[in-house]
Formats: sequence, C-alpha cells, structure tokens
Amino acid sequence: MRAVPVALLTVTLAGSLAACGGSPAKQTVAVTATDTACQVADTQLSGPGIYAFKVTNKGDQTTEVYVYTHDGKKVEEVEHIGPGTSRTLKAKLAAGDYQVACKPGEKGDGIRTDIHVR
Amino acid sequence: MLGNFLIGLREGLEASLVVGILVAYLVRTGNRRRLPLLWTGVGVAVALSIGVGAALTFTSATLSGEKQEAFAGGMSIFAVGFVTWMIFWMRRTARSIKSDLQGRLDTALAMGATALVLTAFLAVGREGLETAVFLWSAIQATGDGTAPLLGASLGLATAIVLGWLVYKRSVTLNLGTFFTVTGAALVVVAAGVLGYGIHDLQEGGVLPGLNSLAFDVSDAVPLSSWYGALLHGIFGFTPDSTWLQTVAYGCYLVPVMALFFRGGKAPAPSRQSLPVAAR
Repeated sequence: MRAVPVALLTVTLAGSLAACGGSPAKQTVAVTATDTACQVADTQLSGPGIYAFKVTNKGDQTTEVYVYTHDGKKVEEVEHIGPGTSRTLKAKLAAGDYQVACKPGEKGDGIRTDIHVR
Repeated sequence: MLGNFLIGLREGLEASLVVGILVAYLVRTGNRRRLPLLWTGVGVAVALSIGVGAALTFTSATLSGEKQEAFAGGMSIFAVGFVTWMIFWMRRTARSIKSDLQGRLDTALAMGATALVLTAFLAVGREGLETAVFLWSAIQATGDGTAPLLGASLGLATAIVLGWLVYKRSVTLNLGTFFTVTGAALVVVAAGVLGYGIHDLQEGGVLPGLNSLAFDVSDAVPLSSWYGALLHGIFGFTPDSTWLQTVAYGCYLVPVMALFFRGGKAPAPSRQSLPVAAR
C-alpha cells in the first residue's frame, strides 16, 4: 500500500531530474541579496545557455529570487532563501533582455536588475 | 536566525498538525498497533525528501522551479483527497465504535489503514522536498555561521512540539468532542492545502490565472512575519491569493464542513446519543 505513492513520487522526481538533470551551467553569476539591495555580479552575459545564479542572502529577511523575461514572464524562481544562506537558481536563457528580481520578505514586485544575454 | 526559524515553523507546522491528529486518532480508537504504519509513511516521506534534497543540493541535478511547484501542487491535491477521505472515515468509525459493531469497525480499519499511511506520507512529503532543500542550504551555510541551521532546526522542532501538543490536548477530550474538533480542524487544514496546491499549480504553469489576485495583504501580513507563518502553517493562508485559489478554498471548505456537521447528525435518532455532534 505504501508502494503506490512512493513509486509515484520516485517516478515523478526521477523524470523531473532527468529532464534537466546534470546539465552543467555555462557560467555562475553571483547575486547578493540584502533587505534593500540586489546586486547581480554580471549583467552582460555572453551567449545563450544555462546560467547558474548563486544567490546569497545577506539580509535579515527571508528572500526569494526570480528571473523574468523582458515582458514580465517568469523564467525561473527560488523561494525560501533564509538569512545567511545561499541557493542556486539555474535558468536556461536565450539571447535577449531579462530581469533578476530579489524579493526581500517574500513579497512585492522585488528589486529588479536588467540583464542582457548577447 | 528569526527568518530561518519562521521558514522551518511555517513549512513544518501543517504536516506536524496532521500527523498529530492522526496519531491521536489511532490512540483514541484503540489502534496503537497501527502506529508503526503511520510512522512508516512519515519516515519514507522524510527520507525521500532529504535524499532528493541532497541530490539537488550537492550534485548538478536540478529541478526547475516550475516542475517543483507543479509537483508540490499535484501532491497537495492528492493530500486533500486523502485527508477528506480520512475525515469521513473517522466519523464513520466513531459511530461504529459507539454501536460496538466490531465487524464493521474492522472493515473500516482495513480500508482506512491504506488511507492513513498515504495521508501521513502526503502530509509530510508534500512540502518536504522544499523544506529539505532549505535545510541543506542552511547546513551548507555553516561555514559562515551556524545561525541559519540553528534557526531552521528550532523552527522545525517548534512545529513538531506544536503537533505533539495538539496530540496531547486532543486525547484528553471526550470522544464525541474529539471527533468533532479534529475532523473540523482537518477540514480547515485541507481547504488551505487545496488553496495553495492550486496556487502551486498556477506557479508551475499547469493552471492559468497566477496574476489575477483576489486580494493582496502581503504588506500587512507578510509570510515572513511570525503571524504570517502561523496563519500559513495552520490555515494555508497566502497573503497574495489568486482568484482561483480563493474560489477553490471556499468551494471546498463550505460544502465539506456542512456535510461534516450535517452528515454527523443524520443517521441517529436523537442528538444526545451522537458521538460526532456532541457539541
């Protein structure tokens, strides 16, 4: 009886992991989030590919980070980044304009930084 | 540290409350021997969450945010189904106990044991992966200080203690009150789980309408505040709820609660003799 949900979970996760698992990032971009700022180390990225945004929360509030397309569509997100912790957000980006948004307190539109992929 | 404490509390509370009620339920119905089954459901969910969380943290494997949301959302809908089943099964069993129909009780338990394990598994596994990834990130951060890990652990521990208190308190209630209170509590928790299950599915791109908000009180009641965390953990409260989420919440809560109270009174001849409608 336990086998059913466990199998379900395993299959779902395995499938999801396989879908984008193991793909190495083209470049790691440091993002430093505080309660009032959101610093993206590199805003001019060279060429399409998978980018790893390593977000470090140096503020006192829990934060979350989103990557949006230029017309506001969400590409990727990482929630629940506690104070003093780091999380990596991996996003597959084509050439074009994007925005990185840090949302201290996990609310609002966030502090946004424009980035460009050549 | 407070931020990490609140994440731990928020993510752990709802699972802890559900498990606390399930344990109390088994104890109250004289089914202590089924407790290992329940703990197996909990244990498998915890182990899987921690394992997959570690894989995501320490290997190059990734789970896109959308997939993770869709997964959590799907699990939530399943969980609501099983919790609802549990609620009505509990009430049926309550009546069987009262009328001493041992055969009927055994049948109900044979069916219910499956639901029980699945409910325990889903209650913990649903947000377990997200919590495990969060916990691993706190462990990773110990190079820079132990405050995040300490906060996260204390938050989870507090959630577990609250679940234990619910268990301790509820087993002292008389049987009729016990079934009414725990059943109604589970209906409220399930409505919340359904609501943010829908929200997760919207975030995962499975359902539309993520940006049409019914209300947004995230400035007054942010999730990162202690009261926001408690409201989220107990009622599934989301400060920026979508219309779809709000409608789903209401469309579950109102009819199920009505059915729970009305159905409890229907089959017996007088109110006084009823186990469920004791209040």
